[in-house]
Amino acid sequence: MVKCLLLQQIINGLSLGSVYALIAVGFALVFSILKFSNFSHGSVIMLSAYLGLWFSNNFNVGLLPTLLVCILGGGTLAVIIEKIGFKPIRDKEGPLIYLFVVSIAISMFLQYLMTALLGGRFFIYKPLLKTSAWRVAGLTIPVVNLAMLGASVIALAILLYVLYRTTIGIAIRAASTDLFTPNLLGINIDLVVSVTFFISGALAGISGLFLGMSLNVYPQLGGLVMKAFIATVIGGLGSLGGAVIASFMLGLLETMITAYIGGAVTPMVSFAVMILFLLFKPEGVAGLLGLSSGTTTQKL
Amino acid sequence: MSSYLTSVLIFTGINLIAVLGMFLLMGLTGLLSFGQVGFMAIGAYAAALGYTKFGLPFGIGLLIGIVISLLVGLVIGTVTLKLKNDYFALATYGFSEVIKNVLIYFSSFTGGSMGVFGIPASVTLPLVAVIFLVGLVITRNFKVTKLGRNSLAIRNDELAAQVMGINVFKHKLSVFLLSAVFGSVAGSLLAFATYYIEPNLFDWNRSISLIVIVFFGGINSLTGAVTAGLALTLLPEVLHFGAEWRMVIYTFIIIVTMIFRPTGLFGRWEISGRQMMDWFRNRGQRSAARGRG
Amino acid sequence: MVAYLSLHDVCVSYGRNQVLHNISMNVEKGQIVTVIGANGAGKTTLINAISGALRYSGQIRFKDSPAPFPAYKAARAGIVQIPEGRRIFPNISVAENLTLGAYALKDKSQFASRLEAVYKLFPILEERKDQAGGSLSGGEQQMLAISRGLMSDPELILLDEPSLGLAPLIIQEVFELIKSLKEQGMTIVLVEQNAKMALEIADWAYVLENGVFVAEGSGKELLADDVVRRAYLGVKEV
Repeated sequence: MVKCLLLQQIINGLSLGSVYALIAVGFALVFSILKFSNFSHGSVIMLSAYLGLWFSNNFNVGLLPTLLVCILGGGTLAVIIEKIGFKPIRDKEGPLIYLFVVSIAISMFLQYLMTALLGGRFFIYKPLLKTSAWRVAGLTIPVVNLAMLGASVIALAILLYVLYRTTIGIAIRAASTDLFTPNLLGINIDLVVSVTFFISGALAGISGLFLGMSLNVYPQLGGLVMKAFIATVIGGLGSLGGAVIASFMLGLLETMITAYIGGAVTPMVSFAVMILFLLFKPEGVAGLLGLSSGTTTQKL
Repeated sequence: MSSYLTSVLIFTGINLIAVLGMFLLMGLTGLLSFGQVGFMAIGAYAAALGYTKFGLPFGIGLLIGIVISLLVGLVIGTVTLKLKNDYFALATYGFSEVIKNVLIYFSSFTGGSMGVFGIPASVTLPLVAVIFLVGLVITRNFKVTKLGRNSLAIRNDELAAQVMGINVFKHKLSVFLLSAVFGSVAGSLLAFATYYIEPNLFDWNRSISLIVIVFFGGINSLTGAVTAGLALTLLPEVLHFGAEWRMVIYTFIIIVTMIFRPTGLFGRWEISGRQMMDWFRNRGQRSAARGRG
Repeated sequence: MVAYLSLHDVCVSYGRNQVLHNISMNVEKGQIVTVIGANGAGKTTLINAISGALRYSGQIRFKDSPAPFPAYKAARAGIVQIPEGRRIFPNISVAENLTLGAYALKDKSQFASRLEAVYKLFPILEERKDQAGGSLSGGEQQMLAISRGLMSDPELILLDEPSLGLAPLIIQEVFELIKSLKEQGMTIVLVEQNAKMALEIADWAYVLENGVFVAEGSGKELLADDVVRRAYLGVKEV
């Protein structure tokens, strides 16, 4: 029985970690080419959750069409935020810290906007899955967790393919070290940046849908970007592989602590781990494993 | 003065004291800290618990808050100030979250997430005004002290400053501690300006609003920071929309300003007595010239 | 007869600091045109202006129409810059560097044959095709940078200090290669501090000082010019 419980916690931890991974990878992708921590990423998650809710309720469709809408919606939204909020500052060659601050202001704006429009209340998805939980050999596993895990793994595999097997993906990886030279080769760097934001937003869209389904939808849902933030630091800022591994570690750690010690100390432990990494291993898990993910683990 | 206006001004003044601390840190070291609210929480809880648990008067609580903030700041500063930019911002965010969670966790002493009740609202507008003015004078003059000048040298070119023999780390730590004191004092005042405090008063949103105020005014202009602090604290009070729409408009204005004037509204501009004299003199000359012409 | 590439009164400023003053030059098709000058004379700025990588005033015309702007459009029109310091992408593999080089290639079916040609030219690149670009030696990186530029089948190649930081033997190789590119019909603008070798292969050359052309002539003429010999060729007595 104890073993069963443990196994169940591991599955829950992995599915939580997989959502963190989706968010963290999108976050790390933008960081790797523009070198700033994009806090507006959280608003894309939050708005995608609302979008998925609206779409699935209005058109009475199942999980897959809703997922597709969230992917497209999240991606588009991230591109719009880049064009309106970041591009003007990049064109003026403003310091990176301004991009950071504007991204924070944008996330606050969108959070308050949704509160003003719809109120701070929780919205609940109608069931998009036929069964809510699987009972196997004494385990009770929420199906949404499994769907979350599956969708995240597929999304990450597709991302890997795009980054390593397509020209635009190679250009994204190249742009992480040099935003000027690609232009000389005929590559429109603004397009590369837009594609990067689209991918980042699409991943946020997936996580928004699943977070909305499991935690309900509310204006502060985007606050979960902080977990991804922690994961990217533990992973090594800018390293995608590190971010994924760290996300799963964080998901497991949080689930275990919540289950065996108590939910109140969970945030403290996460932050403590992050600070320990910052102090003793600032290049993160990627540095520990000697991981080269194709993007740099450049120090700031 | 109506009691509503008085209380608005008291909270504005307290906010401005915290802004001064933030301005010192950002203006002189270029570091973006989310830790300021952590020190505000320390100051607030030291004063509040000092009173409710031990019957200590406000002044003593305030001093205890400062001492604890300095000690904590010494530890946090020592470990975080070696980090740069985003890393530092993150580590300080971690610090303030840990403080918040400690306050929630040790509920038998701190009251947990329910907070601390029964604090006398004994802070008066003159007291806040005096402390603010003292803070303003310290901040204004800090730039011209040796410590301030060296700090600016570090911000402009850390390596060059190091070569010149400036102990970069020690300078950053001094500025960090000074800003922690400002934060702590603002926190203690806040506790005694309201009847109760809770850990969520010292959250991410408060950190952000402090940072945004300094950026909005311009990190190189004290005049800008103070004006922005006044404007952005009073603005929500002036905009008599529903409470939710205030924040929407507030953040919208900030975004637009940051995009179109990224150096802040004030850039490097400062009010000084001399400038004002010059301005009046020029005006006088111009009108005299006009008179002749 | 209008020149293949022509610059007319081109000025470039960084803020208040004017770097190029009324530059006019002509490059005929199939020529090697060299610009020599000291560090900071404005050579890289000139190359970047032709590449469309920065804003300028005045006129640049390429094949009888205004030169494309910005840089990525210029590259797609056949103007390829091989930048100073190589600027290969250190974190992606050699083969991936070459893939990006072919981004502006119009006829994608040529990709395989161009890759083969490049590997034939520099067998070492094929040996190292899966290695990260940053792990190559300086000379190998220069070969990769040139190869990356050639992948898009360019018409006009802008070479910025290709000899910088290379061993003499490899410099020799690079210059041989530049000559062979000319023989294949490409037009080359070469910017160099290594004035002697650059002038030796140049059909026409300009001397750039503080953002102004102070002399021009055929490569041979400038090699024989007293002022040029003293200032750029290190000849003390004439």
